[in-house]
Amino acid sequence: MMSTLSCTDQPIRREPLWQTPVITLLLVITIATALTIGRYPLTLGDIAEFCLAMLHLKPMEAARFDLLYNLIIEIRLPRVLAAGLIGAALSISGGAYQAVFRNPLVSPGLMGVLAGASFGAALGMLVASHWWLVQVLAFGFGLGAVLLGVVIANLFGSATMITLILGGMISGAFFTAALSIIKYTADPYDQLPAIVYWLMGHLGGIELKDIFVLAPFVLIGSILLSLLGRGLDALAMGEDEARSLGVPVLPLRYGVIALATFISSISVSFAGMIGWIGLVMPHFARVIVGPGNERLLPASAALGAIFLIIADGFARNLWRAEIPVGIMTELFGIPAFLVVVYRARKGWA
Amino acid sequence: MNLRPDPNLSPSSPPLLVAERLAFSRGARAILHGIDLTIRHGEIVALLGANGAGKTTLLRLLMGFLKPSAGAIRLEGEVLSTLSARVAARRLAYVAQVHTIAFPYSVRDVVLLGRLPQNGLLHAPSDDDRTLAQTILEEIGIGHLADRPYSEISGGERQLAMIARALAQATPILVMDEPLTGLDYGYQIRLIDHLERLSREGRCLIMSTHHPEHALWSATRVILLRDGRIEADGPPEDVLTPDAILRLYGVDVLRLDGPEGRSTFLPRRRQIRPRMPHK
Repeated sequence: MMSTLSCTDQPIRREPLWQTPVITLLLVITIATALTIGRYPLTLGDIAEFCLAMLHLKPMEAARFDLLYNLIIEIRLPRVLAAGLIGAALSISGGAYQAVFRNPLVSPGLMGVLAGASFGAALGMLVASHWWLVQVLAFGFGLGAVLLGVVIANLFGSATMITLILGGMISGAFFTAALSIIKYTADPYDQLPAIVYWLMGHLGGIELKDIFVLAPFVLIGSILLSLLGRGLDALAMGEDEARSLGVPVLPLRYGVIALATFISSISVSFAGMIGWIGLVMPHFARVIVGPGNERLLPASAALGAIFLIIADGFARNLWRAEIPVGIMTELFGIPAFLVVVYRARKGWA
Repeated sequence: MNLRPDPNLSPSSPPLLVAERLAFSRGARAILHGIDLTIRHGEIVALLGANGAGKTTLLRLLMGFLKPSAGAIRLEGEVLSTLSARVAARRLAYVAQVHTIAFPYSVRDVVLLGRLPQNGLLHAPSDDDRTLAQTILEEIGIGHLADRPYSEISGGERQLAMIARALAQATPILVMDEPLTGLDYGYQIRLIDHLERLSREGRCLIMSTHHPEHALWSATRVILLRDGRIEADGPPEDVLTPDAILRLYGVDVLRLDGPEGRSTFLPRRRQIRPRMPHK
């Protein structure tokens, strides 16, 4: 076999990666720019000056420092970071779902996490007076809905790709119906608008302490998902192929679904329903870094972060009153989705 | 880096793969029963049978994808079902019937996945792995496709890429479900040549095929599967008689023995007889 060795005396090396620094730079620029915009406009120079002052590298007048501290650290940074983390979480879980289900048109809602979380949040607003309970219920029912979908899938005999999708559909439909019941019984002057507003997606209520809850989960979840990327590549070849490559298919599938569900559920519990990111952003990432999941998933996270920070920038500043960011992502998402479908159709032949 | 199975292994070495009293049923329907097989280094085993005879099921059982309803499979002496997926993947590689991938992985990346069982999930393929992948692609005749997206090449080319991926696993046993189907004539003949070379290195190949000629030309051993049982098992020239073809497919053929030890089948004109009734 080696006798026919041809023009491969030189070892084949992987090409150098330009994408990682470019995407990172884009993310930093987006965050810095997002910090400048708002009712009280700042310049990038102000931000830089403030950073230097924070690091005690350059003195700054106390009154101005306090103003900037309030604006940047207390008001804008939590919001921008929340947008980034939630965008990253939704996007990477979308990418992970697409890999597990071997389908580029799958979004994180496939297994019912969004329907479950919506129901949980609405239930919370109906029965509870504490906002944290709304979040806990949204998170819990988001996980619960996916768990129910998995249980239903196993009722069909085995958890194959198809039975999991069916289970998720059934579970999602159930929680959508349950949500309708809650909307119907909710007080139309007080509770119903709150539910409807929550379902539109919003980043307004997030404080710095929320970031400390959100960040570790999203970051650790994203790192774990990215580490499983090579296994997901094998899974993309098909179930038998993945098994023949030594990949434990069922544990990998459940593990990835659990991680993706966990981080999308926690994001939804903080920000409500924010659509399209999980469907669309992994595609842009695929165009830039290729389909290998070990690079695709972190790139999806970064692009998702960039996308939601920009969408939230528009949501905050386009109109006198804030527009729910879910509406912005939908408006931006539709043309992006058209591009995606146009590209994806090649594989449909 | 030891990428090849030991070429010094002779046919008298202990068997690679042993199946004993293997049976498989789906619900009440028995698909395979009483399968006894002993497969050794350097063998090229061709599995022939009509559509639905259980060829793919048998191959998937041998891979451990399906659990036998009775009997056991031993891989180099160890019971297959007790091995971890990764350990099994260093001994058995698999090529399924042609399939598609939804994402545009390059052919090179697909082949590099074959190094996964050696490297583990957390390690990127090395430069040596890349060189090996390129070498295999060149040998199999699709080196020029290395950078093309797998989702955009033809079905036959995909089949070859999948074979290249299985070869990159460098396993002693290669199980292939109709590897020659869908390839153009040139690729078919070249692949048969290549398989012979692999077997001379001591690798064992187990494949199903629909073409008795392919079995005649490439196999050292032919197994005829009929109604879920092994009907015949032996050297191709003994097993593949016109009579066997008639029983298997209901087709009347002449066998022509040509030069270079090669033979072929010629179907007679006016095939009006129905396939032999089952049982």
